[in-house]
Amino acid sequence: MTLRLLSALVLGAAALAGAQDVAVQGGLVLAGRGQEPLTGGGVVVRDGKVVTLSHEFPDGLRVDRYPGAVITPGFVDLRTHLGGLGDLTEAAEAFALDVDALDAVDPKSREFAQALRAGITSCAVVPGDAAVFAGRGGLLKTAGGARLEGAALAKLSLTADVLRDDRAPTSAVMAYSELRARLEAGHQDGEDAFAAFARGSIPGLCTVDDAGHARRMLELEQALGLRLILHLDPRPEPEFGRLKLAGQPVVLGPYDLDADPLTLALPQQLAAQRAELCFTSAAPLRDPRAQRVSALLAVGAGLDPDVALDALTGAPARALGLGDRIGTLAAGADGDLAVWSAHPLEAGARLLAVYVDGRRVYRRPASGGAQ
Amino acid sequence: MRRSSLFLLALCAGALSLQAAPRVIRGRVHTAAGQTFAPGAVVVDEGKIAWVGPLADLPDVGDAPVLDLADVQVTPGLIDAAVPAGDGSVEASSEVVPHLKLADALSLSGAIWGRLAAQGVTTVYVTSNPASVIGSQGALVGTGREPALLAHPGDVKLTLSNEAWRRGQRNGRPFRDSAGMTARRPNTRMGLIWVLREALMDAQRGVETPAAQALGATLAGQHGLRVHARQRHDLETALRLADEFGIKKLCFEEATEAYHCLDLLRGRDVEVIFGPMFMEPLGSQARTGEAEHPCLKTPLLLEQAQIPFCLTATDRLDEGLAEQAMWAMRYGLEFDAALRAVTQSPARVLGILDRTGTLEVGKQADLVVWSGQPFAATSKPLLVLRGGRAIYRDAEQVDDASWDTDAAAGEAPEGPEQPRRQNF
Amino acid sequence: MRTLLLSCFAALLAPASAQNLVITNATIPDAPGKSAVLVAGGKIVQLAEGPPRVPGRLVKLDAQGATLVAGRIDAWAEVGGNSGLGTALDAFDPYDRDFLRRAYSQGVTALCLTPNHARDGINGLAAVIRLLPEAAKPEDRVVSDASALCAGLGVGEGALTRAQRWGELRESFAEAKRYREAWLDYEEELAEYVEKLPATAAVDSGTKPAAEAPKKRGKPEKKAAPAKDETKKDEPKAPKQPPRDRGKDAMVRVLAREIPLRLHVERAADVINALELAEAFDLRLVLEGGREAYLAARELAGADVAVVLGPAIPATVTGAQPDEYARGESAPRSGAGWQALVPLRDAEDGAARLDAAGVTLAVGSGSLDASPQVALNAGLYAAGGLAPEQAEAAVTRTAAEVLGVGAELGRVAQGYRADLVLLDARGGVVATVVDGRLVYRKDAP
Repeated sequence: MTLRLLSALVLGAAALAGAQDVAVQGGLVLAGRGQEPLTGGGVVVRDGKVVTLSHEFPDGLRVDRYPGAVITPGFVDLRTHLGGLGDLTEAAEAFALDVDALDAVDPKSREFAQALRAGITSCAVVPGDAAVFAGRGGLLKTAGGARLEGAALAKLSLTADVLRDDRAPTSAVMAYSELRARLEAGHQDGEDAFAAFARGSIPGLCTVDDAGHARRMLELEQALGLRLILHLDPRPEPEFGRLKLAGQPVVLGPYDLDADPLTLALPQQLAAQRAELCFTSAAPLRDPRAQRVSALLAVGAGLDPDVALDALTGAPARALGLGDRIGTLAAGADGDLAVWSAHPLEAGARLLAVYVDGRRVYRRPASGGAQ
Repeated sequence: MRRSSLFLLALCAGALSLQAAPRVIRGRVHTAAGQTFAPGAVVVDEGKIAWVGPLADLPDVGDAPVLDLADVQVTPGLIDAAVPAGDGSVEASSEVVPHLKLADALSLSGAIWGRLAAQGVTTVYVTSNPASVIGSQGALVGTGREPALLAHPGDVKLTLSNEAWRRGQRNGRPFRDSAGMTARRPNTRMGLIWVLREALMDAQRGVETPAAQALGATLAGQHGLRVHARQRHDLETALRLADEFGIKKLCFEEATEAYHCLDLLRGRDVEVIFGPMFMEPLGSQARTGEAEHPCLKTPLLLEQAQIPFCLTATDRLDEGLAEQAMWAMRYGLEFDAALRAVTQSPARVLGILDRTGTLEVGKQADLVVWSGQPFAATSKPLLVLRGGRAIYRDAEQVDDASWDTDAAAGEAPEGPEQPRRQNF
Repeated sequence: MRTLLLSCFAALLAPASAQNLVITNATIPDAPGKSAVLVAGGKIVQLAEGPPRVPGRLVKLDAQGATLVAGRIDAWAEVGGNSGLGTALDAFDPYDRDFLRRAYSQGVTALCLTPNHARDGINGLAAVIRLLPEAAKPEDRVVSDASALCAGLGVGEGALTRAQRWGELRESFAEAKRYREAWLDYEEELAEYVEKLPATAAVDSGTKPAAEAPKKRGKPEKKAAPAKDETKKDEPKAPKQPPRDRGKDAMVRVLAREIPLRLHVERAADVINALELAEAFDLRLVLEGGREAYLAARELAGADVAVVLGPAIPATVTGAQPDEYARGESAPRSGAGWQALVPLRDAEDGAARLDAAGVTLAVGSGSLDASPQVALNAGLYAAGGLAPEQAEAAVTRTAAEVLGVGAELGRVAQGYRADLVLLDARGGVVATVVDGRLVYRKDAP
């Protein structure tokens, strides 16, 4: 009897804290690539998942109304160190085969709340750039720091950061050679992150600072069937614009307001080749809002705003193989959405509210005053 | 295997982008294969030389565009067989790294490839930096603003010059003060030879390390062997080591004091990639102290001694390959011999003479149109083609429309313009 | 859109000299009801409800409903470097084509150049320039060669050092005040002396009005006195001229309320100190930075002190900050940084709260490299809660007023400079006009 009562209580609590039913209505819903923009309607969320986009909502469903607002999927940032307890850059070995960044993440860190207030609802927390294979990272929801099970990505780097005097490699030649040799040797049955990346079961985010490295990594991707996400170092490199990157996930940013024209022209150049652009904030090294600012700067330099919005939502989700779950408001996706006062690629757009799994986790204070 | 097919792919992709229509270049044509046509003409079609000969015999090419500038002369594209990779490419965790490939870290950025093209150089062999005792395998690169990795022949390079032991205490990247694994041997010449000998012994015994395996393949004759040596006794030591380990053929880089041992070299199966010539040693030459007694007549002496040689500018881009040929001529070498030493001979050393190195029908259209006498101080390249594509073009003299031009090839040769930044 | 492009093309082909331009079919928030602007001689000469009928050759620009606003002004384009005496004007390269192209593409047409704020003490004069594509004389670009005297408290130092900096700043103004008084006394004595001279000599000096110099730059009569020394017998003695100090001359202009003191402060405590300094020396004050200024909003509004805000989002969280003194994570300059690791109390809606309290706000970029993005920066303040109209004004009208050039720049109004920007519905720049010349249009080939 008591047991039954208890379990009922527990179940009830779970329903309250977890899944939520709500309809979020605004002036315009931008549901993601391949979805028609919906004017005047809203998003129906049940059990934390998007059910449909509609003008009419079922009876009895709570409806949060934001007149004139623009509703987008929550942003996805592929490259952060949010919540890291200390440095997430383990450089003792050039090949840290199974380091897991999530082992050093505090899910209750305030940094997640900051990211949330920048519209970021999911973030990949990955190790830093100081090792050729720096280990693995995982995907977290910024509301509460809950892990997305099954979502993992490897972190690689072919930059000057991996070269050190106190261990091999000291040269880019050796760095790439060893990486290739290890990947070609194959680790079909290995349990570690490197093996998972080598056999293509998890994607790998590879930071490069030179177009030559980018080309070589793309060759390896094709030859070995890897799942590669290229991260192009935000410093200006004229050769990046000549890379052939159709369909290739490419992470760019963060860009500062003083970024030079060569750097800011790159997103448009790559978009013209139909690369899958993703913007990152590199939070907490930068303010998480730097993700949207990077996209704004790229739009100011000529990038299509729709492509830029996809680069903040759908593209990074697809790069992780989660394109039907986050970064979109298609039916069945997580109920992660951001409500803006205007199109988020207008500089002055304000974030009015954020929902994660159908729960409202942020709401803008009424006016002017402090929270 | 997989990689070589990738290179083929890259080459095919390159071929696809070539212009289809034939084009004619008129001028005094030096084929570097023993002929000079004055006046002559070259017909370039589909990236290859379709015809070359005296102007009077020029076949009918319909309304193909003709580049007809006064007083121009045409030579094959220049080839530098030994441009050393930068200090940053030195792997300091081991002094013996013949299993590494420079191609694996070749930067396709930077102004250097464009500058080489502007100097008339169409192909270079990037050789390992001499700071490693046995360095990485080199890479063959086509120049231009859009450089192309052509191949990595797999040649292994032994260093007998003193970079490998003078920098022994910090054999990694120079100008760093950190001690660590880079504080290692060798730090004397005898130590250097011992490291060499030990590595060669390991290779002979077939030790199961990547380095010994790669070196073993070289000893078995699958790849060429280069030796970086400047002083006479280093050249002699190299020949002694070659005898000891049964190495038949050697290729010397730099060989500053080759003039001292002409007789010794003449009797052997060697190639000499000689250079650079200079009045004052600069850069790495100055640091080594090994190049203080260069003999500017060396190319002439090598030619007279019938020792196969070619010229290199190494990393002295300020005195490029054309200037090296000029120096050789200034100190007695005939023009034809100087031209061969920067075109045909390096192509032979690199094993690409079937594709380039001379102006002959069927070869790649790698050529330079000079404003006057090639290598003369008053001449400059007006147009440089690699595989029929203009990788450098003097925008004042040669218009864009008549050549399928690389992006930005028709700019000043100083290198790509960087965004100007405020420097306060 | 096609028409717009065509007429733009015509504008580019037209000769470079000042031309007459008419912009039609524009939405002009500064002048509701009007839709056309006529430009002649680089100035706005007429605003009209319909296409004005003007004789003579005109370049026509059909805005097709786009919004016409004044060219954006970066109220804080820091050029780095500082001499203490110099003007930031000298550190700007007006021939940097890349920079001009970037600025035009974002509708930025004027800058307030300021010296580096990171050093403590007096850093030099701020200047306002327009980004003219060409200028017959370099001075043509200059709207104000002394918009303000800039000063800072230094960054990367500890709290105790900060107290010392305030002391030094107060002391230097006290010195400047003594210097100014010495000169005022001298001028007064000189005037008396000239009066007492015999009539012949008095006629000589009568050509130079004695009252001209003292209050302004403190510029003295050059050598009025020595010539008269020879004729002295029982005549009054000529007063002794105080030594000249160029650095203090600039401070005298501040003490005379001719130009404001522009002080870089981020912390609320420093804001209060700055207000006290201004009151003690009777200065006009403008604050720069002010990321904690919202905590002293009421005091700022009461003293009628304007704030020039910098980057809305700090470039890095852990790295260099506008006030490194706050974070101390980058290596402090003086080794005292360890004692002052107090983070700045940033608030996303700080600008909105300042505005609500009635504080005048301008927005700058904080560095010359970021100047082209100043409108985006203002937009980010709007995203943080500042009213969008206020954010736009902070890089146009209000910015011009704060910089003391409000009669020339910052508005679409008759008599104002024809530095104009056309914006599309999303706020993107469609075309930029400087001095009546089209210098940028979107979709340029």
